[in-house]
Amino acid sequence: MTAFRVVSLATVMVLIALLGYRRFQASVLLGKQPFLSTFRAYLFWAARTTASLFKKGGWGKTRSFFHVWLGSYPESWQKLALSGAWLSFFYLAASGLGLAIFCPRGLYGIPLLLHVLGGGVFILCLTLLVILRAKDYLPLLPEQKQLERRRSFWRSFPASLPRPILFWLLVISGFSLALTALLSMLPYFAFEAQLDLIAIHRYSGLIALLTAILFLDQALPRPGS
Amino acid sequence: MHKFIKSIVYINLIAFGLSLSCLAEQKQQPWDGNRTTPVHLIPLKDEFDQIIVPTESNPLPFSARFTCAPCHDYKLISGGLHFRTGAATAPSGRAGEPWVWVEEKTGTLLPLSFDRWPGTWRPEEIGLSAWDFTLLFGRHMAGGGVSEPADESITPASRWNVSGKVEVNCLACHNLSNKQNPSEWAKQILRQNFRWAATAAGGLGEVGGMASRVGPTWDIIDGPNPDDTEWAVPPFVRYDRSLFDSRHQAFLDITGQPPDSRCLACHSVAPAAINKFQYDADVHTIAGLACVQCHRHDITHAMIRGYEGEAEHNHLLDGDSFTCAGCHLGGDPARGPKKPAGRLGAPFPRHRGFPPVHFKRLACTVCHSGPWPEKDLTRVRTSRANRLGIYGIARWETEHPAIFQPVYIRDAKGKLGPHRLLWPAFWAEKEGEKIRPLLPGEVLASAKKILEPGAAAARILNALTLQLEADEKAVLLLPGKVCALNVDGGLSLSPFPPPSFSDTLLWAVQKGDAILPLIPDFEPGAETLDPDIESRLIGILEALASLEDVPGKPALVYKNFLFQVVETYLEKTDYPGPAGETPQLGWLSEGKFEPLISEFEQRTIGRLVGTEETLTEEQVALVLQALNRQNKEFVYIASGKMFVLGQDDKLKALDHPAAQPVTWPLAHDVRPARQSLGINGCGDCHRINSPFLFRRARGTGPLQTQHAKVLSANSFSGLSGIYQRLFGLSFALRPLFKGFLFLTLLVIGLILLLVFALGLGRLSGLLEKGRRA
Repeated sequence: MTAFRVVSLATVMVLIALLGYRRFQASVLLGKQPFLSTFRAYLFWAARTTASLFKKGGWGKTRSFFHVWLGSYPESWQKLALSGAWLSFFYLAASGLGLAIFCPRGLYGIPLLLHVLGGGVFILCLTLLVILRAKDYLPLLPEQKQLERRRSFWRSFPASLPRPILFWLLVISGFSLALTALLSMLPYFAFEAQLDLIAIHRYSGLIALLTAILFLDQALPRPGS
Repeated sequence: MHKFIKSIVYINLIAFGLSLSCLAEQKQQPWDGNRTTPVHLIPLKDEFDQIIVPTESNPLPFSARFTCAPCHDYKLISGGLHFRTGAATAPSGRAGEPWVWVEEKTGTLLPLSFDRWPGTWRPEEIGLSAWDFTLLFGRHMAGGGVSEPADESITPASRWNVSGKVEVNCLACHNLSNKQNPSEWAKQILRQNFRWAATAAGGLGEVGGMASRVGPTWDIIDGPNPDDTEWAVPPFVRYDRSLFDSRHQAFLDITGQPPDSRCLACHSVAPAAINKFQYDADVHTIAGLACVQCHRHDITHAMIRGYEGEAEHNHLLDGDSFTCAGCHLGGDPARGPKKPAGRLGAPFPRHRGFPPVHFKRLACTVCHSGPWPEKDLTRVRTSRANRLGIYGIARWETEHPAIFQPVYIRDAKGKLGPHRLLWPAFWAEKEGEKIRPLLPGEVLASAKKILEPGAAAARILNALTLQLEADEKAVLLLPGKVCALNVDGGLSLSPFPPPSFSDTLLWAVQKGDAILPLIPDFEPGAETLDPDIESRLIGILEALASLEDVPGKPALVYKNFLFQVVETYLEKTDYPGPAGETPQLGWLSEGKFEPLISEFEQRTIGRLVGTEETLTEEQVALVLQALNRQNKEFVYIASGKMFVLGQDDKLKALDHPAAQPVTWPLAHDVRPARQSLGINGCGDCHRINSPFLFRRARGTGPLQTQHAKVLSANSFSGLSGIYQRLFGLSFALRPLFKGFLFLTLLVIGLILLLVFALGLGRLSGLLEKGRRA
């Protein structure tokens, strides 16, 4: 449990910091500066950006971003599934990882009941999204001819590849989350297996969160774009 | 000079250290590896360290201190778990069953403990000396500790010089002889034959006499009392000579591993409502394990109790290897069945489908020990609290205290465990919020008549029965009840139904299966009475007149006539008072006629006889009034409430911490796996009306009251009732949820499989080839 706390806290913080730094680099014109002053500037920028979310108009900006994002999905089913998936995922991540990291007892009580309920909503929405959107994320790989033509395998991938990868990663981790939840409820697995199932559930949740953060970063407009 | 002193000090210190190490070596005799128990053909020694010669006149009782001393360190042993009751240095460990002082007349059920366990009172706090404590509870004690006080701590009112001290009774556990008799032990303790008790109970000899009847100056070296060979006979022992050989060595059938029956003499617990044949023993016992195979110790007798975390209190332990997990899981539960097994070949539990949080938050005993949680808590009786296992003509066992199990309570580490529970009941003086329990004697001194409502009726019934025919017995008729004398001289409910005349007559005769009027119907106004009737009336009135401490002269009132015995003749006079339609017996005092027992007594007897309770709220109010005359505030605690007198002298039931139930963990009886909680699924505990979580514990005790405290099971566990009901409800929907999860997983899984196949097809070029074709 302690290892999971450290790993999850570290990876989430590092990922957010790295993504933030990329955006910081893109938004601020910096000459060659010593590391410390760059770091200070980054911290200042991060604090200001975070604070702007809570300022007047910050919530409106976030909402309009989601409106625009949802607008890119033509069908109302897709909009519903997407909203359900994101909202439930937000609660699942907050309750699951939040309590696992910061509460010694972990997830229990009413938050646990809501977590199970949220899990049901999430997997339903994810299923709908997979049914409705899988075709849009299918052309993962270039045509065979292109593969043969290009010297390097990795270079042959299209620039739009990260989003499909993130999508399928989210689907796989969601699948793993639901599967471990289901298996732990069945009367087949002994104590040690139950512990393993919990560990897999936790790490799947972490991977899902990291993927969701990357996915969100992909979806958010770039500074200057 | 300074150097010289220093060197002397060093030499002394070294010598002291060496002597200590030698002493330690002597005390901790190392085991030679042989697993047998030596034959104990040994000389018995008395308390003066003299060898007992059974053929001598007036031999003294054997002393374990000196008989066992040549091989076993008595001092070391006397620090053991069973012998340290009351010892100041004793580490208490997990709470255990308290000693319960049961005094039925005053409705006292006072939990006592020297270990300051929650809800218990220290004996010295309420004024109980070591002597009092030994007399009260010595029946189920193994000697030593408080019952073997140091000479300097002997209190003036005690009689240790006559009775002797209760030495550690090694034979109570280690004597394999079938003559070992716990009932004899209890009897000898009650007779104050403390130093003789082990000899008598061990079957080494026959002990006669009673130290309780002997004068306070008698000493064991005084020997028999030549002036009194019938009443105040000092205790003596006649040894069973067949146990001794020609060298006066006695054969003691000693075992290092006492059989379960020795433990159960003091540690029996059984449901109150079942027959012996219905009782299933602990699963470990059925499997052939003896108590001592888990509850082990070395020469220090620091008995392993077997709970998690015991190593903090027991020097023999360095971990939890003697707990449930120690045997069933081995050292490291996380390693599963592949790790080396635990002790005694215990089966490894797989607990399939159990979320691991159960093992973190619940003790093993929650699911495996005690009775299955039914709608009501199970009432049990325990050896020590209910005085079980003492057999004889008199009935020793008591219905009170009512002990219930299991309630689930968290331990210091937050783990839920099953507990036994009893509701304390006692009179107390209240100063602010502070409570000081009163000794039953103090209460009786102030309000004896109120607390003994049946005493007068019992004396009357006894007197009336004595003048009846041999096959007749006087009985008392109360609304819906027939009360008769019991063997203890009290009143019990007669099995016979009340006769038709029970509305008009109070006193009757039981003859065979029939209940007849005590005074047959007659014409009171007749010139001459039937001689049989006349002699019956004279007999009854004379029997009543023989009673001491009565409010007046016995008389009979019938219609307008009053009958009295005057100089052995029946005198009839006119009775100016209200005419009685039926013959009524009563007391005539200063021209006033009163019934034989007051209305208060009739009412109280009517309410209490045939029930377990010994007090009514009316009695409590009257006793509190009597006690409050001392210009202090007194209260009565029972059934989870504190009863106080209000401004209007009416009884009020309030909450108070001292009225809370006393609980202590239970570990046995362990049920087989197939009878454990969870065997039928999560619903055994998690459902909307689960008895495990929501059954109620209602305050019980000696008081007949409607104001008893009621606590829900979840309040003991510290669990939220609303949440647990919601959580329980979620289990009703769980099968649907599982089905839903399965379906979604099937859909996502199939699509993932398809995508994986597509990717493989694209990578291998199969798809393009197919498309071209």
